[in-house]
Amino acid sequence: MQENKRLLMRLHPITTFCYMMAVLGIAMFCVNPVMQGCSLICACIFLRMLSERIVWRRVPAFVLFFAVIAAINPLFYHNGATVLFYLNGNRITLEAVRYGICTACMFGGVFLWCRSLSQIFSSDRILCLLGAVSPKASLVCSMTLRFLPMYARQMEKTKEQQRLLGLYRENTLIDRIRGSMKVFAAVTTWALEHSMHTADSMQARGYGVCRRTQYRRWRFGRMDAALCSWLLLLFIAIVIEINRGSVSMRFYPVTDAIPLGAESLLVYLCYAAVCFTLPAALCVLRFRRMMRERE
Amino acid sequence: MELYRVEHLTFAYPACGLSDMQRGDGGREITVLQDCSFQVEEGSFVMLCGGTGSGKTTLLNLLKKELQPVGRLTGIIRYRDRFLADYAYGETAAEVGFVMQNPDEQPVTDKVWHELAFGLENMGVPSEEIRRRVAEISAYFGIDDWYEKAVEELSGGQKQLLNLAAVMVMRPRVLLLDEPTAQLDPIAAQNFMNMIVRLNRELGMTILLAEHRLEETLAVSDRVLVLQGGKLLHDGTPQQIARAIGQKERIYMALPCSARLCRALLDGGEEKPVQKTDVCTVAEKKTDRDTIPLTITQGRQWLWARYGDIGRDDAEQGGYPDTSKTLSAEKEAHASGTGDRTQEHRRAKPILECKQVWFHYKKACDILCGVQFRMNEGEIVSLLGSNGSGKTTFLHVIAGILHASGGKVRVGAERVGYLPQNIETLFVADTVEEELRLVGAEPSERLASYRQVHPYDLSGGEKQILAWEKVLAGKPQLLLLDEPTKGLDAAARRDVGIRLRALADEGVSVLMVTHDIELAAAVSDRCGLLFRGELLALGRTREFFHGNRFYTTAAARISQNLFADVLTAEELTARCRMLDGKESDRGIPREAEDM
Repeated sequence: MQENKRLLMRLHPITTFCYMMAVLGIAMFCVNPVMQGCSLICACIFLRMLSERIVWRRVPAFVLFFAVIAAINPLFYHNGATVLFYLNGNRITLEAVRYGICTACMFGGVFLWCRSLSQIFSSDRILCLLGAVSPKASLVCSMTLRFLPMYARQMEKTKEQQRLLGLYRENTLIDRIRGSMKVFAAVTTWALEHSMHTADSMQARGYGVCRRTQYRRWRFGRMDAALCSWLLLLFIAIVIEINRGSVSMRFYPVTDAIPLGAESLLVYLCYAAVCFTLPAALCVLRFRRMMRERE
Repeated sequence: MELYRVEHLTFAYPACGLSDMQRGDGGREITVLQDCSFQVEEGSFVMLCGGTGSGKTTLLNLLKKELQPVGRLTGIIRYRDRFLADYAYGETAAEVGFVMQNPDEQPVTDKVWHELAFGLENMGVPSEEIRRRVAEISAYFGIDDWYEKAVEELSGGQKQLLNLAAVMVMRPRVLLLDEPTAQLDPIAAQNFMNMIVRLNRELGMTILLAEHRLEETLAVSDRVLVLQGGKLLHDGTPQQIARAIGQKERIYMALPCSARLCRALLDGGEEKPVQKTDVCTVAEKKTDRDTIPLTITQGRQWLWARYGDIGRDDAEQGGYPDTSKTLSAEKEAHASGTGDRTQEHRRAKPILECKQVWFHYKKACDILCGVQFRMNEGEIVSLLGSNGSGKTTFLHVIAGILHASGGKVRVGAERVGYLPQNIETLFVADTVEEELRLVGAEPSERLASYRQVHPYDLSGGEKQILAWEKVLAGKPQLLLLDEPTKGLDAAARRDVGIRLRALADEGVSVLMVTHDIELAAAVSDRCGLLFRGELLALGRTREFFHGNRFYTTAAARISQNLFADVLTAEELTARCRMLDGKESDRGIPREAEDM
């Protein structure tokens, strides 16, 4: 919903970035059905919180995508001890099917995460993050984002205009290519001309006079600090546990049982906590707002 | 305090790649400014006017260290008691603000908020301070609403306001503006000018504004500099300037309608020789003449004082607000001239017919809502209307760039010419000659000396000429024009009018959409108003403008309730002359009547 999106937009880009890295990073490198399932379910919830309504039209496509990915592994990978049946003389094994479903969960989850995160990651937030690494690159990207739509518009207009003048409307392929080349060259000249003015505008406003600062639009508030340290803590804990192998599973030749020891349960819990950080933060923010309104 | 002091400034560009015709005496350089001397006081509103190619832009660029063009400069420019040349590069970057002509060219970054912060980032201002200043400036300029938007999504007027705000956020002492409203529609232009005036009045900002349209701006400035051909011709208060500009000068056409009327009646037909005016010489002459009206209101007062009693019965007889009577007045007025032509068109065959034309982009709301329109051969029709009323879309549908989503468009002409708003989209070749050869034409005399020049290197006026030649090369029977006078100075606008009349006489039909009311009133046979995709009030020019109170020519607004059928400044002058003549016939001296 718009309201939720706006609330999340108040967070510092770094916080959202940390969240994204933690959720996706762990989901992508840890093949464990519990964690994949957790990621998938949370991705669905998060997406629902951000979008206006459920677009049912898209659901079959998503299910198909899920099914195809799940099917690919057993179709091409024939290891595993338990043979289910033979297809064209190839073994289809239970282990491969299990692994396929697990990967499908992973891909599905990542896909849904990207959908929802792209809604809160606007271009200026990405540039803000990039600016922290390289201010110059960030400025160049920003200028490119300003320039490209303008270039495309000029291109479109010039094409229309030349067609109206009766030029380059022949139907042969070579003529059309020649026409496009001509228009492309002309618009490129225009772009160079334009960039001179941009350069003037930059100089007029003191570009290159002294060391640039970077305007940071977002404040790194208490909420951000709390969320970031929370995420970092959980992330480190999970990575250590994964390294120790407490949630790792072997799928071939025989699939291990899903690890359900105390440590493994702790890792699942931690990952669920990571996944639900932003949805929970959102609930807190909304609740606070509600309380304020009530006063 | 004196902010700028310019003495004997002469500037010449090195000539390269231009043909011999253009070169100065030495054959090496082109002199753009000659011996200009003036001062700018802190807190004053100085207007720099002159036609296209008079050197305005160069002069403004020279006043800003960071934008000084390459060339030979003699004379002195002092800024705050120091030579401008002595300032370190970038020292005045924040202090001297510069706004360019084309609103699209100044923005550097993609988002509005980033654009506002850009200058401050360059100056190394810390982030917290930037936040404060950006907030302050957005509140002052009222841009909170589009603070988050991409620059590309803004309208032209919004972009130009953003450019101004992005400069103002650096807290300059002086603003240099290079025809900032030339590319804007009248409402956006007025909006922008109001902001400039506000900055001057509320903050004491020093303004140096280059402008070639004086109708609305002359009265608000403190001082006017008139540049012509690189020479500073006049320097004085608006009053003095309105009196001093000779009727033969190019800039005379740009004077406000009231001032021109007053001048024409006071000077009579006589022509004064063009001479360089100084403040003192004009002041001497002041005694023997009335104050010249500069605004519509002043013009009305002036006119009422002169013709109040005679004119009123005239208006009552003509029944100004009553449309039925206006019609009869109009018939009289059309006894000769354009009226006849309109009658002819009744019989002529239609060249364009639109039946219930609807248009909408995918999933967007309707832009054209059942436009019913018919146009005859050899007619000139103007469509007026605000931005976003569907004017350009309508032309695109007729031209075939867009397809109507409903209704029928029947074009009776085999060859249709289309002159776009953005004429640079017409040019695809590397030289003027090649450009015209593409459409099977040769450069005319006016472009002969620019054969080998790249179209982008031409000046604004010459580009316009090339664009017209390229469009007319196809010998169109129907000509569609989108804002043909955008960014042109008064003299060039008059040329467009003359050109259109000549074309109509040759039998070419012209359909134009424009914001230029004066042009529409002067040349068109019929006018219509597009409003939210509907074509309203399509009628003969006189009928159309007499039905309007706000949306009408300056001359009509000045003479409202006084003279019934006046549309253009020329008609108003003629009318007044006629009245003057009548009086002298009756033998009543003007002065006696006043007493």
